[in-house]
Amino acid sequence: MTESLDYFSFRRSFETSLSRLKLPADCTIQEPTWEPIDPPLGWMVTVFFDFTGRMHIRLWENYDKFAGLQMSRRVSWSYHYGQTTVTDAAGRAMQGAANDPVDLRIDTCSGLHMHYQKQQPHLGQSDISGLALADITAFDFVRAVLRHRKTGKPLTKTFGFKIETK
Amino acid sequence: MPTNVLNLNDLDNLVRSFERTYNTTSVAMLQSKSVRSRIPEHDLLRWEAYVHHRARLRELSQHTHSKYLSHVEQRHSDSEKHRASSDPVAYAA
Repeated sequence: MTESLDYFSFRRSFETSLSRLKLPADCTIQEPTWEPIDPPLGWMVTVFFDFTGRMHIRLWENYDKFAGLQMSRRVSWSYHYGQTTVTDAAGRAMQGAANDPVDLRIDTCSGLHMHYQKQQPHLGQSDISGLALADITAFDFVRAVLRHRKTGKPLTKTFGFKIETK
Repeated sequence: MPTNVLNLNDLDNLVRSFERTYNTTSVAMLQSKSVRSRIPEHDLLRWEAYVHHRARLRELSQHTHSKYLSHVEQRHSDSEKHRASSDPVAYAA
């Protein structure tokens, strides 16, 4: 999903990819929330996946025109997997607090980094081997978490990274 | 699927809502490490995105407005010339 796209083709492709995911019985997808800009030069999308055992995935992506190109591309993003601490009236996961437990998050806030099993420290690319953080797409993230949940293998294995000790 | 189409006014409201929630300005959010440290990352990302899209839309809006004004001025000037040359009496009346 990092290639240059326009809003309408991106949305079609994103929703098709969502519908093709092979989800386990204990997972439900909330309807994505789309925030296109008017005119649709850029857009944001948020999707939550709820799992039994009060766990969830939250995907958020922001797209914008890049360096004078006609099309747009992903400029900031956050892919989160962790415990659900806040729900709506229907029991669906919502955005939690800053210090909520995190199993894994990859986000671009103040630079691309990863959180693994705790909020601190922020692990930059130089702290990780085996995984190019910038190459991970929303659907790569979801598939790796689903493999982790299905096989019980640690996230380090299903994502294929190792934290470098310094 | 929920779709919230955001125009300049909506983006302004979203930015102001973050400013009220965290009792600070967007400039401080963008520049101050101590301000940023007390805001959850997900809110920072969304706030930054709204500020960025708002700036882009303002730029576009100003560009469109100035194009429109130059067009209107040109049309007005052409129209005056046309009226003056085609019917000078009516024009001067």
